[in-house]
Order: sequence, then structure tokens, then C-alpha cells
Amino acid sequence: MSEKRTIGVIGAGSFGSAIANLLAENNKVLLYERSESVREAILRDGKNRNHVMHGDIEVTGSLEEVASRCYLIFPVVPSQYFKSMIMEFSPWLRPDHILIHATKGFHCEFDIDTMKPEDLKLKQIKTMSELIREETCVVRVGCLAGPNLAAELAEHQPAATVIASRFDEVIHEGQHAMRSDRFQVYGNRDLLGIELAGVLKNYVALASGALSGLGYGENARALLITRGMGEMIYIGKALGADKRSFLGMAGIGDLIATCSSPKSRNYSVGYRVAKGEKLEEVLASMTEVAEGIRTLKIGKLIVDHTHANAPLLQIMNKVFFDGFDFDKAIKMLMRVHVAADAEYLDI
Amino acid sequence: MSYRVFTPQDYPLPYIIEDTTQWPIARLTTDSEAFTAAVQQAVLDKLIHRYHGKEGLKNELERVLYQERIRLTQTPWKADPKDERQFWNNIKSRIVKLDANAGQADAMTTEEDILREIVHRYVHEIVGQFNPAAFKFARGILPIFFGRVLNAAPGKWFKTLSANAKTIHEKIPITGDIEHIRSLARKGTVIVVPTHFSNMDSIMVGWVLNEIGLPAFTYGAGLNLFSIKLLSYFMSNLGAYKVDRRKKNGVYLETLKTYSREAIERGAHSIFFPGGTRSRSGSLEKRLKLGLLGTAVEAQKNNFKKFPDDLAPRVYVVPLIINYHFVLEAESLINDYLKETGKEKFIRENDDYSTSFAMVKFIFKFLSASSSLAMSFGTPMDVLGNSVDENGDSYNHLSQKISVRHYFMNHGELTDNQQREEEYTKMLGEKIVSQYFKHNVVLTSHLVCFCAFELIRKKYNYVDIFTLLRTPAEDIHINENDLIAAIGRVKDQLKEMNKNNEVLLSLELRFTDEKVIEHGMNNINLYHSRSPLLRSSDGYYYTEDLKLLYYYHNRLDGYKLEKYV
Repeated sequence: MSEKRTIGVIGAGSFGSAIANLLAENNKVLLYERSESVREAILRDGKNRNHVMHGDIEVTGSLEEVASRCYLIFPVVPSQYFKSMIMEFSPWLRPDHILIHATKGFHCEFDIDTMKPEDLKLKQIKTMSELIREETCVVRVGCLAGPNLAAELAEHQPAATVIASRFDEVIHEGQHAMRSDRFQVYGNRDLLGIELAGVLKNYVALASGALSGLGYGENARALLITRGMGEMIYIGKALGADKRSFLGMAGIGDLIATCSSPKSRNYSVGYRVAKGEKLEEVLASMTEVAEGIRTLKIGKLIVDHTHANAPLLQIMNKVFFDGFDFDKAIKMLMRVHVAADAEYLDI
Repeated sequence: MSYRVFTPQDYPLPYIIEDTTQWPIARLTTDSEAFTAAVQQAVLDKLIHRYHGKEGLKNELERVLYQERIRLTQTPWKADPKDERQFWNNIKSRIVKLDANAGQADAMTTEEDILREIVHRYVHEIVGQFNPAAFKFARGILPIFFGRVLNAAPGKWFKTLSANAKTIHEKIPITGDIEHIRSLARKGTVIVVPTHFSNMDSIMVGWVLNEIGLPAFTYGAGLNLFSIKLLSYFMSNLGAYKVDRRKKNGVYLETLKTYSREAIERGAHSIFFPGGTRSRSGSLEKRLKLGLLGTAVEAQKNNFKKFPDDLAPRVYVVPLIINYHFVLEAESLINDYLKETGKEKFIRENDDYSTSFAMVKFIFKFLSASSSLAMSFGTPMDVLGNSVDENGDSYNHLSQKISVRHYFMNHGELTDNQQREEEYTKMLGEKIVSQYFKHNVVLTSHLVCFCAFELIRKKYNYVDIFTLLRTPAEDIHINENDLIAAIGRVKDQLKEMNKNNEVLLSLELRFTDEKVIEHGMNNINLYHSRSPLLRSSDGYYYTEDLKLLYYYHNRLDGYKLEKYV
């Protein structure tokens, strides 16, 4: 096809801008942003949140326009706003649309601060693809996740990602649209597993930032990443995911990137809190959402409900919300009964 | 519910197409030659594409030959044609010759020729026919037969003539939005997907579809059933096609699927039993076999390819839930199930159904029960599982009007994509299963058996189910008050679920708890020589066959009712 396709991106946050830029290398891109001032700034400066925006990106404030001009659309909106966005979008969508979201968070049908695990129904916690299926007529849904720090993507460094979907077609469309000499796109049919990997790694990244804040080095981090991945597998398994998904690009791959990089939002929250700042103040000072804090709370509900084995998650909750002391927390974690190495591969 | 409810006196409803020779299935027979030729060509095209290259095709031919030769020696049937061995020997020698001729441009036989011959044989073995004269005959005699046996409990023959005799429609309630289904059958092709508990199902489904005035449906019947003469006559003339479950080779399965797809595209209303075989455990099907169901999805896509949107014939899927108080084959089915779950992979292909006499005897008993069964139609859906209105338009779960064509499009074009269609078929299957649960009519016998068995299970909760089922039945007693109380609680919960449209209830569940037990027991004990549940003179309940009790109990499996017992 000689004519370039127009691909839609919803949300001009940092990651949304990075995705729009990646897509613009092979396609025309229509980027939706609800804030008029942000749209104007992009048009005026050709820049957004440290990303120099590609010339083939058009900006719009109309979801209807995105639906009518694009078949393939990437929603990249924080999880708290995802539902209202998708409900607003829904009337314009048709079954011939393909949606690949890149949001690493859960949606909850309840107040996460007052919910008790015994009252919880797992159905009330939804991944973004489940939300799309519920709120729209689109069935060909996918998810993008992987070690994709927006800042490094902006610098055109080499990287890779995973697109997961029950539909091979969605994977191929995503690969076709994104693949380039500096960006590899892997496919995976375990949509739930990849979504969970993307979400759950957030709290491990928080913990990793905290380790650095406390002045610990790479041995501790390697311990954290390895056991963190094991925990993610236990939780994923309890929710019905395939453990292999956690061993790929969106699992261990993303863990290594976010746990090692001060550029990661979750990492920096963990770092600053460990350095002694108050959580509320840290969060108030950030321009974008750190999903890790929500993930901690929702993760605890899931783990208490399913009795999945997740000591790190439990203790992180105590530290971040119950004023538990970091040193004590680490002592407790170090005393956890150690299972055989890599036992999570056998569950 | 807002749709029109028919009374027993309304049945049978007038046919939506009066002239039987104009029925889609009759036209399939009239155009039989073109139809079978189209099937054959489509199978060849698909397989040649799949095994592209001579080498791939030859390997497949060898696989087919190998499997067919095993079938010939290991599971020969009387019904098999006499020239089977000869045919396959001939195929064998021609495959051997392929090697000798390899590389010669003017070779006499090619892989394609051999494949064509095999497919040709399969198509002609599968093909069914519809004979309007035989249909008229059946329509004339069946009501007399039904009427005769209907009230024919021993000594009550004369009752068939008396005023208070129940008609078959009073005995077999038909529920669901019948008018809706009739209007869809005028607009497009209807696929009825019934639950499958008994070999009686195909008869009952044929009967109910006729009663609601739909043209005859085509369906795949197990080849083994054609050895029963009575059944064979009707089935071969009323549009059934033959399915040989012994043949599992790729060429045969592809031929079968193509046959089904082509028939749907030609407007032939079809019946699929998506559970594959009869439910062995007695519970509602939770996982469906998707092979034939997939042909409905593919046929719909092909219709979109052939016609512009508003002209493309639509395919509609209608679940049908059949509920029996008792199932003829219950004993052998539950035994198969236990063997299967006990990892003994052995399922008999022939069963207690093997003579016309056994079947007639069963029909007899079954129609003389006070209310033998219930037939409940689910909500019509498109091939994606969206509901459709009376105009045949699709609406999704958010009540948004949907163009089904869009599901098969990518970047504005209709595209073929097998994996996509497989996923759609799975989604459709999930919708069918959830409708099975929603439109299942709870009969007194199911409720009674469920509660009785759960009480036993609770009492013996320290043993696993297999050990429990081996416990001598005479050791097991159920306290009457416990049973009555359990029935009351489960009934209340079922009523609650009924309010939320999660299940349907038979009229008899309005009885008092004691009456429910009596009604359920009477119905279920009517057929089996060893009763699943009995009441002793000193007021406790016991069973003569725990496995049977378990089988009937399973019908309410999956509703999470256990905690109310």
C-alpha cells in the first residue's frame, strides 16, 4: 500500500508521546489530547514533555475524529481516567476497530481504600482490555508492554516491546505499525499475562527505588528483581495468567529496566520516600501518575483474597501506608522462609 | 417477558413457508449435484492451499490412508459399504505409483487426483437428502404415534380418547420467544444449538422445530444411528447427513466442515450439538466443541463477501435447552464419565440404544410420565454472540447497534483470517454456554436429586467422590427433615436467581417442598429399574443407585447451589 495509514493515539502524556513518535516513523499519526493548552503547546513548540514531536503527527481534541479516521488505535491513558475516556469514546467505535492499549494499571469498581478482601469479587478488578471489552463493541483488543522508558525512546535508543492479544491479527497490525530498525516488537497470545506483568512490576520498581534510597547496591537489587518476578508469577497464576509471560520482555525485561532506572516514575517515588520524604508530598510534586502506589493497594486486596504468596507486596504495603520502618521491613523480608531456587517455575 | 406466549392449543404453528418443496433443505436436495460439487471443490482448494506442494499433499494422503486402514481393521461396522477395503487398497496402490512416476511431467495420476477421489467418496457418504413425501408421511404418522402413547400408562389406553387427557403440548412445555425465531428463519439461516443429554435429543429437536412451524433442519447424525432401521429411514429422508466419528483424519474433518458451511451458505437451517457428544456427567455443557460451530462463523463471513451488506444473508444462532426428568442412557453415560475421569480412556460408540425396540420402549415410558421434559429456546444471537432483534439487526451488550460485517474487516476491507474466526467461535461458544445456564429449566427431579446427593456428600465429606460412589447404596440414608429443609433453601435461592434471569423454573417448583420431592421422585423413578431415590416406610430416603443420583444431581452443577443444601 503506497498511501500511509493513519494510526490513532489517545493521550499525549510522556508515554503516549513516545508511542506516537514511534508510530510516526512508519505511519501518519493522529494524536488525541483532551487538554487544549497541551494541544496548543505541541502545535506551537513541536515538543511535548521532552519529546520532540515527529512531523507526521497531527493533534486533535475530537475522539470522534480519531474513530472515523483510524482503524488501529493506541489508548495510552492513566488507569484512573481510562474508564471515562473509553466510555466517551465508545459511541464512535465499531467492531472493525483494533485497540492496543499501553496502560499499566488496574481499574477498580470500588473504593480501594475502604474495600475489604473478604468482600472483594475478583471480577471487580479489571485490566484495561477487560474494560475495553465491557464498555465498547471492539473485540480485537491488545496490550503493549515492555521495557520502554519514555526518555530513552525519545533519544531513539534501541529497544523492544511485546504486543499481546488473543488475535494474531492484532499482534501483526501492531508489529507492522511499530517495527523499525531501533524497535523490536514481540508477540504473545496471553493478553492477561502481559497486562498483569505490566501492572505488577510497578510495585517492584517502587521497592527498587527504595533500596537505592537506602543506599543498597546491586546484590540487593538482583535479589529484589528475582524474587519480585517470582511473586508476580504467583499473583498472575492466581488470576489465571500463564507464568511464561512473566519471563519475557514485559516481565523480566520490564522489571530490569524499571528497577534499574532513576528515570522510572515508580522508582523515583520509592527512592524519595526511602530518603525520608512524605509519600503525600512526593506524589503531590509529580506531574504524572505513579501507578505503583495504586498497584500496591490493589495488589494487596488480590493477594489477601487469593492467598497468593507475596511477602514483598505485603511488607511494602506496611511501609508505604502504615508507617512501618524500612530497616525493619528489610529485616523481615530477609527472614522470609526461602523456598528452593526458581520454585515459581514449578507452580 | 414481553414476547408473545403461545398456549398448548396454538401448536403446531403454521409453517413459515407452506410449500415444502421450497424449503431451503429441499432445494439443497434438488440441487444436490451442484451442492456436492461445490463442497468437493471447496475442500480441494482448501487442502491444496494448506498442504501446498506435492510433498505436503502426499504426506497427508499417506496419513489418511494409514488411519483409514487402521479403522478398517479395528472398528469395522456392519453399516460400512462393502467396497471399503477395495477402495482403500486402490488408493494405496495409486499412492505407491506416485513415487514411480515422480518427476514425469505426463504422470498418469497426481496427488490432486487421489485427493479428489477420496473427497468425492467422503462427500457422497456424508450427504443427506430431504424427501418431501417422506416428510409428509412422518408428519402424518408421528402425531398418531405420540397421541397413542401419550397417556398410555398401563391400563390407561382408553384415556387417549377422554377429555382430560393431556396433549403433548401440555406435557412438553415450549418456552422462549418463538415468534422472534420464526421471523429470523424467514430472513436468514438459523442454527439451533441444543444441549445434548440423550439420543432422544435429535428426535425431540426435530419435533419441536416442526411444532413451531420452521422448515426442516439439517444436522449431522452419528453413522452408528443409521444401523437402527426405524431411525435410519426417517433420518436419511429428513435431511440428516452422516457423521462417522471413527474418521478423524484431516481430509474427512475438512469435508464435513465444508459440507456444513456450504449448506448454511445455501440457507439450510442447521442443528449443531456443540457439546459434541452427549453429556456424560449429566451436567450442562461447559466446554463446547467448536469445529462445526466455526462453520457458522465462516459461512457468515462468506455471505458478506458474496453480497453487499444489506443483502448478505445472515446467520443466527439459537440455543435450545432440553430438560428430561430421566434419560434413557443415564446409567451408561455416568459410567463412561467415571471411567473417563478415572483416566480410562474408553468410550463405547454403540450403546443401549441399539435396537428399535429399546427406543420405542423408552419413548413410551417417557411420554407417559406426568411431565417428561421441558424445551426452552434461548435468545437468538448473531455469530459473534450479540443479540438480534426481530428485524435481524445485531445489538451488543451496551445496546449499540452493530454491523456484523465490521467484525470481519481490517482497514476497511473484508479479509479472511482463520485464527480470528477461531477466536470468534470461542466467544460464541462462551455465549452459548451462558445461555444454557440462563435458560435451563429446573425440574423437580433435578432439584430433588441435587439436594439428596449434596446431603450425602456432606455426610461423607471425608472421602473423595469416587470412593463415595463406590459406597454400598444400602448404607446411605437421608433424613426426611434434612431433605425437606434443603429443598426449601435451594428453592428459595433458585427463585432469587430466577428473578435475576439466571435460570428458569418449571411450574411444579411452586409446589410445597414435600410435593416437590414426591413429584421429582415419581418422575425419575418411572424409568430406571434401580431407583435413584426412594422413601422408606419409616420416613427416610435412600437410593438404589448412587451413580444415577449423582448423574441427575449434576444437572444443577455450576450454579453454586451447594452451600444452600
